[in-house]
Amino acid sequence: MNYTGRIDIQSEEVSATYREESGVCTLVVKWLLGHHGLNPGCHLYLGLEGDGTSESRRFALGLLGDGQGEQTLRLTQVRNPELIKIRLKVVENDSSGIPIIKAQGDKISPQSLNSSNQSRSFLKILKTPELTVPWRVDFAEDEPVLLISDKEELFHKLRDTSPIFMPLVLPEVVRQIFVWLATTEVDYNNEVLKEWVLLFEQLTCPRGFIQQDHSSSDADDFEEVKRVASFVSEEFAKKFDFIQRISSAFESEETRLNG
Amino acid sequence: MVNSIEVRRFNAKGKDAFVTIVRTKPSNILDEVDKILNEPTLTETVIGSDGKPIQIEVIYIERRFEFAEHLAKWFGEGNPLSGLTGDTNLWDWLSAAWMRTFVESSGQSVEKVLGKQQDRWIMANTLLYYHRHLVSGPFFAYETNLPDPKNAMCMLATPVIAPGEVVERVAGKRSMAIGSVCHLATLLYFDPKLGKLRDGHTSSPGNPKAFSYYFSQLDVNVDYLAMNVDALLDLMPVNFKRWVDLAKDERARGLS
Repeated sequence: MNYTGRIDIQSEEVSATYREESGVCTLVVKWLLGHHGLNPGCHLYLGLEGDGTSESRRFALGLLGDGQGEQTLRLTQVRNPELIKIRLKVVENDSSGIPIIKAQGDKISPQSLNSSNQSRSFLKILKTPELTVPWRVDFAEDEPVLLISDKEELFHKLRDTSPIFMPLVLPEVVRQIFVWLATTEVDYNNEVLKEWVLLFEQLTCPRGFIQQDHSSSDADDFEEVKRVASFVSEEFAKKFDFIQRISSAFESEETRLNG
Repeated sequence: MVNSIEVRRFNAKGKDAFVTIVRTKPSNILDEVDKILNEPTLTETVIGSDGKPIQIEVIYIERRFEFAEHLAKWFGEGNPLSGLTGDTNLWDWLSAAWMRTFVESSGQSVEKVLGKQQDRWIMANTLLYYHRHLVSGPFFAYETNLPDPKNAMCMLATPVIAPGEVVERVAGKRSMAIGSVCHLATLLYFDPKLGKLRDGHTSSPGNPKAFSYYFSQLDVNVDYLAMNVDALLDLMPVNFKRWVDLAKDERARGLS
């Protein structure tokens, strides 16, 4: 419910990147809010919240001014930078001194600038208005892209608000990408594909297996690719506790419904 | 008794083994956990920035505040494990390492210390249960509220093995576990004279559940973390009056 005319800051109005080096996470946040006509005397606050964890940090970024700005934060004690989501608030005190949120952007994922980051940072996700299935992995651009349908505004509902969508689909996405990567002639010097190969090898895929030529019609070889792909997918799901996360999401919903 | 041991972390197989033990709760659970603690195929040594293994003192500390202070000697900024606070396999190994100490020194039964929820021992990757981890929970509550961790006594005044209702309600909500609103919960529910949570704090009206509900409702419209704790005390509805009056009286007398 929005009884106060609060502005929902859109993802294209805020950008954030981070880089981890020697235990220090440098976060750069930029905002472009000038066109909303907010009072320049409003205060900006940045919240960092760990996705799926209780981690929470808060920083005062000063006055809104002309609505455009950039801040660099050096963070030494962030637990899981790759899980951090940003909450940006524009706040103005009302006549009784209560700080009212005039505009807010929530669940914004900073982009990692490190070369070795997690899958979600190098898996492109595209809003696809015409897609008639909820999601599909596409390889048309020589890079895997997760397409999510935007019919009935499904994209936002699935990607941003559903706690079970990613845990449900990502193991299958990873499996499909593995099979594609192992059976297609691709440029292994492509930075994104290098990340995928690295991820798969971290998930117990034998080093060099993907780069072997599996493109022939040898049925046994293809069976082996599918077997390793399933194994990698299972390891991936285990590593990120997907089953537990889905189960917890349902328990949470039951708790909410039962008051 | 000081039990100094080399810090290790579970690998994927070790984590699976620990999860299985915690879920199945065999009658000799402490022995089973001891077996996997230093098993090279299930764990790996954690190496410090100086290239050497790290020793940690696994000792019994009853209260969450002092337990967090103890862990801060390793996980606090600049200390050997400070860069590994997000490592769930390390935290789970530590909970395995502390399990025997908690059981044998707390005076409670094994069943009571183990509890029903596996999240007490195995870190959950979900906001709903993440804070329930017995070993990491106190440290995170403490560290997030530095440089004034005593403002977080609402989350740190209870025994490590029995965190209680306030921890559940406050630590389980990110925006309540930090800053002025966490300090507010401390003023309302923590007795600074006795050093423990106030008697009757879980009973209605004005209990931690109501506190959590009230701030959850405000969350979308009011940036309550921008308010100082005294302004928040004035903002509390009448059903919190008994705690607000106590808190204001203690503030006036310089007790909190």
